[in-house]
Formats: sequence, C-alpha cells, structure tokens
Amino acid sequence: MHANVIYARWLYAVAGSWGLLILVPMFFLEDYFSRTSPPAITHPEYYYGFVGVAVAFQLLFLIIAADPVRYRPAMLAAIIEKFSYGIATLVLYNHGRVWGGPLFGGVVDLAFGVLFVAAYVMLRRNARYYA
Amino acid sequence: MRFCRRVFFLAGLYGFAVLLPLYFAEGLVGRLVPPEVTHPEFYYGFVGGALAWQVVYLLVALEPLRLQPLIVLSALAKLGLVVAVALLVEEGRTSLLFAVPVMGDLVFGLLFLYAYALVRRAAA
Repeated sequence: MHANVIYARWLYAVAGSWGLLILVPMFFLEDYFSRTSPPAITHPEYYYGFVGVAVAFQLLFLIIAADPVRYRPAMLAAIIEKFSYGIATLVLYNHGRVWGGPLFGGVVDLAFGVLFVAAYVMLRRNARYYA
Repeated sequence: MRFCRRVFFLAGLYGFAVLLPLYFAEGLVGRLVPPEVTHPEFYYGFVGGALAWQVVYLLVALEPLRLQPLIVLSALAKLGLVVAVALLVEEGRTSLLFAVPVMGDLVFGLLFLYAYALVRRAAA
C-alpha cells in the first residue's frame, strides 16, 4: 500500500478514535460541566447538538480511514469541521469568553485540521486512479 | 440516483440557509429564548459542525454512488438531532421554538433513508 494512503488511514483512525473517546462521555456530563465550569449550561439543545454532530463526524473519520482514496472528497468537510471549532475557540478565548479547557480542544482540532489538509494534498495523485 | 442528488443538494442548501445566520444570532437567541447562552463554545461548536455536515450533503449530491455509506451516516446525524431535541422538549428543558427547524431535519432524515435504499438498488 502506498505510504500516503497508510498515513491517511492512520491519521483518520487516530482522529476518529480520539474524538469518540473524548466526546461520547460528554453525553452524560452536562451536569458535571455546569458544576465545574459555571455558570450552568442554559441551552442544552446546543450542548447535545454539538456533541451529536461531533460524534457523527468521528464516525465519518473512521469511514474515511477505511478507504481514504475513495472518501477523499469527504476530507474537505472533515477539514472544515476541525478548523471551524479551532478558530471559534481561539476567537472566544481572545474575547475572554472561554477558559483553557475548550481552548485546548480547539488547538488539538487545529492540529488535526492541518494534518487533514496534508493528507488531502498527499492523496491527490492516488485519487486520480480511483475512477 | 437523480432523487438522491436532489434531496442531498436541497438538504445542503436548507442547512446553509438555516445555520449560517446563527453565527450572528447568539445574542438574538438569548433574547428570544432566555436565558442567554452561557457556554458559547458549544453554541459555535454546534453551528460549525452542523455547517460542515452541509458540505458532506453537497458532496454526496455530487457523487452518491462513491459516497454511499455517508448517506446512512447523514440520516443518523439528522435523526439523532431530532431525537435529542424531542427529548429536551418533552422534559421542558428547551423551547418548542427549536422544534420548528428540527422538523426539517426529520423530513430530510427520512428522505435520506429512502435515497439510500434507491442508491443501493441502483448499485446492485
């Protein structure tokens, strides 16, 4: 198997597994967040909406990991997802609206986003053979 | 195949139309459905993640056969949100106002499942 494909496989498998490990417990931690990071969460629909949408994306990452060449187009959405959260937390932190925890998550997402861009570019040549 | 392309294209457009304004509406949400949003990282995380899903829908509309497994995942994402909001409304933890856009998600989630059945038949 081509080295670029192996890189993409590992990257998306690690990103998806890491994401599921972090996000799935959040389904049961709304109260904990409200207690440890006051004030309490006032709009749970956005909390659970965020967790649900993000968990679905981790499953998408695992699908991409199964066949990165076939699912290369979906990497564009994966890149947007990673950068959207990373940039949002940076802006919110800059405005003093979030603390270090969300910022750490955002920086990790930005790092994965950069690696996703690299995988997308590296697979350009392989993707030509798909059709 | 044409049905699948149209449904996913429409879903993507609908999603962008509903979600993009939310980037500028955090304060409005707090005023319309008080109290104000206290954890903006979840609010903007939801908006950004959901917008990225709209890109997935548009990509599926372009290549439904190649991205066939993403159709099922898209349906799960839509219907998951519907279930979450329905439970929160039932518990009285969120406003019925949020149920209105989520009705669109329910319709598209069901259409995605139907589109998947059609694409599988076409692929066989």
